[in-house]
Amino acid sequence: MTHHHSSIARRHFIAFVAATVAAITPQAYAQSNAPIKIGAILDQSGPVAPLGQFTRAGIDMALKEVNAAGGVRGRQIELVSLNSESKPDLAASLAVRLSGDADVMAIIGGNFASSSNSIGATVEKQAIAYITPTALLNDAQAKWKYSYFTLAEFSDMAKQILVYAQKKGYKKAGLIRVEREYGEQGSKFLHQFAAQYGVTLVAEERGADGDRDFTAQLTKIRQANPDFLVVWFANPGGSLVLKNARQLGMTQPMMAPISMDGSVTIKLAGQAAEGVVITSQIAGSEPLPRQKAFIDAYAKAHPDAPEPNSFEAVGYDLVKMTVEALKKVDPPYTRAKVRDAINALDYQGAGTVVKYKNRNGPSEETLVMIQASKGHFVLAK
Amino acid sequence: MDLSAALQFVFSGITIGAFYAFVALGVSIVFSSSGIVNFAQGQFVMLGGMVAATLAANAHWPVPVAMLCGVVAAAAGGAVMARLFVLPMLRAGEFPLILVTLGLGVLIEALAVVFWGTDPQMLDSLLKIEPLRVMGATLSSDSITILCVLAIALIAFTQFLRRTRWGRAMRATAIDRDVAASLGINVRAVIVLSFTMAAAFGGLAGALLTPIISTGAQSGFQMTLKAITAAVLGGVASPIGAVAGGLLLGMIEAMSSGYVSSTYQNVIASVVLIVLLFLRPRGLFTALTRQA
Repeated sequence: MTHHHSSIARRHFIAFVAATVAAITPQAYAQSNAPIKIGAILDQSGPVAPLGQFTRAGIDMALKEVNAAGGVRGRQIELVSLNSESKPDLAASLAVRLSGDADVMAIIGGNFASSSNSIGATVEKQAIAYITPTALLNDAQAKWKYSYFTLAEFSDMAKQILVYAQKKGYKKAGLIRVEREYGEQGSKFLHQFAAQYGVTLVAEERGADGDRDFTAQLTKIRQANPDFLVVWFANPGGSLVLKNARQLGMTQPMMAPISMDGSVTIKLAGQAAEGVVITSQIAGSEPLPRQKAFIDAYAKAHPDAPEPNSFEAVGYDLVKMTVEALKKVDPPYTRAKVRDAINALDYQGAGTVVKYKNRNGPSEETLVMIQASKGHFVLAK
Repeated sequence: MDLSAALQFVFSGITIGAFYAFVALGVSIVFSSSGIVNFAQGQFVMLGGMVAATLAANAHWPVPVAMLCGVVAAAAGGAVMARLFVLPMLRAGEFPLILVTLGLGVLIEALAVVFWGTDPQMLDSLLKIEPLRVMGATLSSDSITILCVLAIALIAFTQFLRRTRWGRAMRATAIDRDVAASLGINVRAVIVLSFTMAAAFGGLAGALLTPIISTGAQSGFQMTLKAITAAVLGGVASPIGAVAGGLLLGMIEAMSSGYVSSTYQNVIASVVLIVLLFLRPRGLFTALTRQA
């Protein structure tokens, strides 16, 4: 008897809960002016922290603009930002955590190849859209359905360098590169495409990120007498290479990939940075039409350092792209709808140009060749 | 590989070697007076470089003044470290003391990251002189500066050891702390002085090196490891040995990256160190500098 009684009580209770949920939920949806959440996983400490901070600066700028303009259909955008500390495994677990929050509609972030790779692998399983300020690396990533990349691929950077060399009539390239994966990729693509552009690699030397002196490697490159020098490095090492080369009296033009973008190269290499050509995504002092609004707003927000770099521009785009996708979705928002809207984006932004329908990486016009000139970056001549 | 390349490797070896020598000199001074290896030595290099770079870049102080402030800041750090952390721990023995220096190194680095962030800082050259070009090889003005300052500092320091009361007290303490104390030498003051001088040399190295390679808040421990390697190579108990060890280490690294590959320069330097320690456990240059 007691058993029967308690089972009735339980049934009543379940009915009550169900009725309450049913009563509250539609109302919550109907009111629906709660903020829309975007998850962010950024490397705010550890070795990649400078990139994480640049991205964050761009994100914050875009968020402010979007929310000041009324958000999306009257709902503000709220950023749920977590620090992945330059650790790919932590980034993956943060991605799981963000996916656990049903209100998070998309994830942005991951500031270097390894972290975006582990976030990407995670979101594929969690079925939530993810846009990263890094480059698409391989065929496996190109098959991903939820991950979208905004930086130009390494192969495109290598090609741009060779295109520029061909335009200038340079035939013999000297390469000095960082010995980790990033440098290996650069070397691989330069070797692969050089012949197509009439360029021969006459010398190749390697160095570590932490090395302080590159004169030995540069001396060997100098003996091969190249027409130009490719410095496939990140800072601060890359800037020291530029400095060492000029100290050795090497007068050749120098070129570098996007990892050398930003005023830090000018700060560290000083006079030696003059003239260096970089495969970037924005020329901070010389905007393309699609970049003008961003660069003007940036200069207003940062009067003492008025020129943004690629990473800030792309950070800004991450938010703008997500918002553009949200605007195309009819509420109620679901992750599947948001993902489909991102996939359908045709977006020309400050730091990237994407059309994700065919490929989850950016279009070719994303790349902008820039050149250091009197302490600023201008479009390469 | 021609002569000009070989000469270039020598130039880059003595430049980086001069820097190692400065830091190793600090390691040796502290070791002589207190019997411990100071794992925070590299942090004083970082402090000297960062303070100088910040004052020159942000406050627009003239480079020599900024560098001097870097040296003073490092020296003050060394004095505080000795007075507050080393002296109270003296009786605990050498191993706990070494751990204390390691812990302080971590602490200083963490504070530096909070204060300066992780971005590397650059500094203008101290002297704007023409680089020296010999047979196609180049010795930059920054390299010339650091070599000259090293020579001056070394001469001044050996004169200080020989001719001043405090210098003699340091030498006596280095030979035997207990005997020195029984002779009326204030051993505790000598220890504070030696930490201060060691930190000052570290700070000077950092200030002079920043125009060449830039300095970041997280660069200290790598400096410490190089300095200890250099000091052990030359003979950690002898200042001149430590300096010679620094120059030798710089040369080994430059030659291996020039003639083999920079990938292996640290490996080669470590192998040379191990082999030399087997042959001469007390360091290469100890016998020849005993009287210094």
